Amino acid sequence: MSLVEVAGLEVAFGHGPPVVHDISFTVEDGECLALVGESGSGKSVTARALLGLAGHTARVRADTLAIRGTDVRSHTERDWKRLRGRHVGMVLQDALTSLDPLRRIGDEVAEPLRLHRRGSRAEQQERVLQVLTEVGIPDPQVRCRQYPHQLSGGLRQRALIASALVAEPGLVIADEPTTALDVLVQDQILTLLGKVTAQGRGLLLISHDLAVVARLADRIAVMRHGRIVELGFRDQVIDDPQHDYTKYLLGIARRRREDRPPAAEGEPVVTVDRVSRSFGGHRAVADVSLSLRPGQTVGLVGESGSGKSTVARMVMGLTTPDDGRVLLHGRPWSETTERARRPHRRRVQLIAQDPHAAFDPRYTVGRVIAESLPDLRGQARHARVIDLLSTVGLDAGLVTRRPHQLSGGQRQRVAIARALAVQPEVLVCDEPVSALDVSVQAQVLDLLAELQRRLGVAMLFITHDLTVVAQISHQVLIMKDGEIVEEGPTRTVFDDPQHSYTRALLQAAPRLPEGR
Amino acid sequence: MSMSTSPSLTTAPAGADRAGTRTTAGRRAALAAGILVAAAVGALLLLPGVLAPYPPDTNDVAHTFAAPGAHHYFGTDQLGRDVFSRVVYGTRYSVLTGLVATAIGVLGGSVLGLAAAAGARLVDTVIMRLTDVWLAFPEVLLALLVIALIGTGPTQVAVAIGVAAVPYYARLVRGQALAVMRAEYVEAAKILGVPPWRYLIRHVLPNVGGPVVVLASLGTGSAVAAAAGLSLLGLGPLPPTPDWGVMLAEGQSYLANAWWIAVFPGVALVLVVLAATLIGRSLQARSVR
Repeated sequence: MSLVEVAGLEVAFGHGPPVVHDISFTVEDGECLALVGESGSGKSVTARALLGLAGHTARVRADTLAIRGTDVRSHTERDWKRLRGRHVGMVLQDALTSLDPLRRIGDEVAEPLRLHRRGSRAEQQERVLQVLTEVGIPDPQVRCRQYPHQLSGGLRQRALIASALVAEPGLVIADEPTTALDVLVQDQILTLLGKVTAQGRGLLLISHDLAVVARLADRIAVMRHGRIVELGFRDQVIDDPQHDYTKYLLGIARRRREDRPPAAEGEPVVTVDRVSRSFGGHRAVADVSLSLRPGQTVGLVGESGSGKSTVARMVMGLTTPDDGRVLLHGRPWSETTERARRPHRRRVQLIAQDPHAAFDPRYTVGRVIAESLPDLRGQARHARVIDLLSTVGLDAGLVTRRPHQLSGGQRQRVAIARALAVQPEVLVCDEPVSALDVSVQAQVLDLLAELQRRLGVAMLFITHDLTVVAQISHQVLIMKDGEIVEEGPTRTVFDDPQHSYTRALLQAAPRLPEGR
Repeated sequence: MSMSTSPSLTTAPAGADRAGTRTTAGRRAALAAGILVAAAVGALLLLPGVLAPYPPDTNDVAHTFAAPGAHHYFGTDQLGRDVFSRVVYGTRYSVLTGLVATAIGVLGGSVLGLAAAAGARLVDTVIMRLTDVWLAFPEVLLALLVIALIGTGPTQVAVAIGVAAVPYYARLVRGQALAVMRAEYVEAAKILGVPPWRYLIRHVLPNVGGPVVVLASLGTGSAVAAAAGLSLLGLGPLPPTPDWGVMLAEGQSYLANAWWIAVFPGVALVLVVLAATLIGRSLQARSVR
């Protein structure tokens, strides 16, 4: 008997058409099945249907939907409650919003035990400490008395996994469990999830990233447009994919860094000269220097909190360094007044992680871009907007749309179009693709590289993702705790890392096994 | 896989939020009622001549103190003037005073609030301490103070009430503007080299607008009531102006034997204040959602 058996699963919302069709798979004890697909492919909906969490407007239909042989199709909310936590545990993506900010970690983790009345209070307490130790939380005695905001992202994710494991469910569902985490933490969490299957539990792992799942999955199901397009053993899917879409995803995941020819040496546009900056006694950036030359991309890599965004803000002239200075074309940029900076602001443009927040919610796409073109009027301005949209590969029909009506990739393209409208010399890209699906990431990176070739802009590319930086940078700086620990041409840094931290980062980056 | 005939099962909808639907319906009805009254008030404001059967200030000594009836819907007063026509023409004075007062409050408040939010720390501190002092006075007392300075009359009443309302709008606009100015889209404009006055007007002010509209709607009601109060005290327009406050003042001496002279303008006042509050509340509920 399989742990989970699903056949002909179909989920629709309201009166709409089904969003997932004809989903069939099984999960066995001690096995990891990965559902891989891009956002909107239906993987989360599928997982939620297994827990009766698809939502009250959802219509769930299936030929078979069984957990450990029990037909759950006619389960009422009460039946589901008996199942959740005890037989099926769930780990969500964002541990900060998934944990109640007002409850201590210990209480949160003990919740499933209390709901299912497992053991006395003392026994529950003991089990909580045991499971916190198991997931590798140091000082569980101390940690279980703390609140979520007192824990780092990695510890929070561990606590969430602990709460999924505490009642010893046979099946654990993990929905993008590492997407919000830095590579080193991701590496630890994946190791931890590996132990779940080693203990004989079933694991349903959901991710948009093939490289992440390849490490844990025994079998992989590739989803697209609400259907499973390919399902097979890991090695089979990765080495000998049958479906074109799987091949496409693998192609993106395997993208090698193209050794970008070093750009022509020119006079630096931006020079960052030994800047430091503290916030309330905490040293965010210490003694950082770099220079950006026309046509050249400098990658700045670091984990969250390493100070890389503060460097970006100093280059933008939005944050003033405490020490050191930033020069634009050899002239003072950080050491001048806002009034003096304003006429030159257009030269340095920003592409932010979340373009949605960077657009006035009342504006249409056309108006967003037109704002960057104050010198043009009427027909000329409209023509230029259309021209810019086509430069970034968007349809002219989008001008009347509002940002929230666009997909993440389209929004990022609009942000790029807006930045290009003022003909900048420097683009500061702060995690520009982190919120995007891998295939969209690839498209946006290609676009940025192509624009750089054509327009010769200098780019400062900030990311926590080594794969991304390898694809686009000529030069790489590795940042840790506010300091640059290693720098050099991309190829040198990746092939022959000198600093132990760089080596650890490269080691932890998820990688697909080489194809045949 | 073949199409199956096995029972297709639908998960039970988790108890739909019926209470929620009802409150929404209730809110809609309130908004509709408010808008209806507001539309009627608008019609009275613009076209009193069409709706009033008599001119508002023609004396008719033969028919003084006539009770409400077919000829005079709301009866006549001590000079034989038609009360219905006077209430209709009175809309122009009473409601307009309230609207002008609110406009003065919103405008003054927005300028001060934006200046406090965008200006230097010193500017902010000065403006905020000023509003603290301002707010320490009861609104009507402050209005009386302003009238003492600039004299009585309909325009003066509007200015007095508007000035008294300025600090409320200033506080609201400052708070909202501080939040909006931290938004990335304002920073994006700054990065593009847009000068501050321009992004304040283009991005900050419109995105601050929502809550201000709500407060202005609620404020219009109380401004109309305050204007009537000041007229009642004889500080606004003078008789024989058909202002509702003036009518209340005139009617109160005859309350025992000719109640209609004072009651109908009073009812009109209550309806207007109620409508403004209903509209304001439902706008508020909408913006919170």
